Amino acid sequence: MAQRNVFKKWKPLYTFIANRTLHTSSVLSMFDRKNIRAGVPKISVKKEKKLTYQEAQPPDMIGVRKAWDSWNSSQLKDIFIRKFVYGTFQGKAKNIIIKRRYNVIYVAGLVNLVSNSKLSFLVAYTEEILSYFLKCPVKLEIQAILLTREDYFKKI
Amino acid sequence: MRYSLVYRMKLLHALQDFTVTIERRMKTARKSKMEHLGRFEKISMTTPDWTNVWPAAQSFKHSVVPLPVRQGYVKGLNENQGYPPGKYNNLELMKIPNFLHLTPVHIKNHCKNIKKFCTEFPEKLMYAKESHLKTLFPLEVIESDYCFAGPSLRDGRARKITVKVNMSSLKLDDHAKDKMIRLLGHRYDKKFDEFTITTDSCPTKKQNYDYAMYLLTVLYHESQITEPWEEDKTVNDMFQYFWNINKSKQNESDVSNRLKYLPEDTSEEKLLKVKQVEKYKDSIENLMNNGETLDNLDQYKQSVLELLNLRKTSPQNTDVAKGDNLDVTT
Repeated sequence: MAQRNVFKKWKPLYTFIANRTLHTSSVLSMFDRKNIRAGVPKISVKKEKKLTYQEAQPPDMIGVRKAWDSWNSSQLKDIFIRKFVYGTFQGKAKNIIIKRRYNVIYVAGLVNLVSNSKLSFLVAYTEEILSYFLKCPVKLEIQAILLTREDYFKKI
Repeated sequence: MRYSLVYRMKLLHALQDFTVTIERRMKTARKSKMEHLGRFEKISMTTPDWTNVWPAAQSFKHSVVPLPVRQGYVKGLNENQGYPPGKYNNLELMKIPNFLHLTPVHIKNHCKNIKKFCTEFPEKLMYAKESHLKTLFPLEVIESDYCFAGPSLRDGRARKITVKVNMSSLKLDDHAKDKMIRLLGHRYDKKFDEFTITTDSCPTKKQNYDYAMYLLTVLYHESQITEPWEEDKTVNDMFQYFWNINKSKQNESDVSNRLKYLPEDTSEEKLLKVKQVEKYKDSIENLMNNGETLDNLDQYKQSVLELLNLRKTSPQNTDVAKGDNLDVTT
């Protein structure tokens, strides 16, 4: 009986326990795409923003309507190659495709340059330097295109 | 700040020159766009020229491929005016792997060039049955080669070797075969009477192959040898059921020994005259006619025991057992 009274005495009114929880909401389904803000370009007021096919597809369409940019390659080398090519081509090579066929790395892309001499110099330069950096042959499969005002996929 | 007239004139001239050069550049640009769209119109994919145009695996090039290909998903009219995007300025077409370097024209060329390294397939083997092939080629070695897209071409799976051997092709006696099966364990397939040895512990393919061959020779020689401790093998250790050494034979010999009191010529007349059979017959008739009483059942029991010779003494000695009435009335 004595023990019981002691226990009652020790019982505190409030119990403070360290609670660490995550606040979660319900899962957002892909069918309510109106509410998804990630990877979707913002609509302009006058519908003048031009999008390419790549930009117009939301990220959940990768593998469905959009293929991958890098095939058979490692992530770190990828990033390096992309930054290098973006810089060398002065921003005209934005989306490039990196493929690996056996030992050779193929960098394919569309470049908005038409000057032959400029293009050939830049291609040779990147091939040479990237081969030295990555220790394997690098080949560029660049296609030169000229974009006009009507060359867009979608206007937002 | 107000500039002098001369300076302003100079600026204006410079600006005019600039616009002229821009216009000229744009004209040449437009022209070259039309020009370098022209190559694909000149080439057809079925002619041998296609192998020269597209010799190896390449990403898609709109200016070279003569096909009017389209790639892309359009939901409505606001996307590319409702048409799937064409091949000009199409990154999607460049992303996916294409097989334009493996057209029928290409393959023909490949075969023509490989043919000079090939020999004729032996005619007798062309229509041989698989069982016959197995007797001709009792050893089967399976190896794989892999091509890896990465900094190193080597793939770790290539070092694996599988060796399949038909058991009947090896000259083994009963003991050797039994021992070999025990040594092989799960590698032996009873249905096809063949065993499989897989080795991939060594780093190279050749080393694994040598190791597999070594294992084969060791197995073969070891199974020929009889170790002294193999004599301890009991009936329970055997893989197969041999009737000769098992209890069933003993049982059968028991039964035959028990029934040795029966006459040799077992014709029906003679059998019926045997005392034990008569006694058995009487006891059954008694049971059926007079119902089941303790006496009847006891009589039946005795008659059965006598019939099957299941008396007190063991039936192994074929001599007359004590207490048995073995009068055979002829």
